[in-house]
Amino acid sequence: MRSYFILLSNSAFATCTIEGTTTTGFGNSNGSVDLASSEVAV
Amino acid sequence: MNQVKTFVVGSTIALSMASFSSFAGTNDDPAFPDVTIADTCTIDAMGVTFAFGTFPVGSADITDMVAGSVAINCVAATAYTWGVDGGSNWDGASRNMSNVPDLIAYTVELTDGTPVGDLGINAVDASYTDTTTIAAQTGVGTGAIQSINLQADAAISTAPGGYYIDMVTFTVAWP
Repeated sequence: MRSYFILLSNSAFATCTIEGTTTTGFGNSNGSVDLASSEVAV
Repeated sequence: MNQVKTFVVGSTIALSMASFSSFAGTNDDPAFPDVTIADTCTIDAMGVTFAFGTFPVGSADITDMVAGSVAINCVAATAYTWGVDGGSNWDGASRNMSNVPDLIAYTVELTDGTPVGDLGINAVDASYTDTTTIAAQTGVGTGAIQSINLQADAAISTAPGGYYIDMVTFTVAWP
């Protein structure tokens, strides 16, 4: 019968920071709605 | 892991006792030699850092970031297999840093771009459960530390703002 040996190491962290707020549709980079840019000509 | 180590020491004691009893004219009283069994292999990931940094929303994906090195030291001529598991947020295809509910996929690679996973470690030690579909790496010990440089990619271009984190574990196994 064959024996096996194993050793686990310490772990490592993966980190990343994304700054700012993603917006969809009308809005500016800080997440609030910019009324001037949301006006639609009809 | 501790159970495996205990087995190693117990086996060696039994072997030593068998050797003692094979010498004619020696005392056959049981002996309990004090032995210290050094690990055949060690692996140290303290030199690894997957700190991708801080970026504005919409930044380009990160490619080939220098990620330090993992240090493996095996007894000379010992064939070993080492790898990196899928971390805490493996999705079946890639590792991910998490900022619930958002994810950033990232890779762990050798400096030639070869991805590193843990697939195949189970074949060396059945007590280990492979967690990725990416092949583990192999090497042969020299009795000295072998430093293996790593790099990493991260797909951040579509990630919403926030702090993302994951944890991976490095493993070395040998028969």
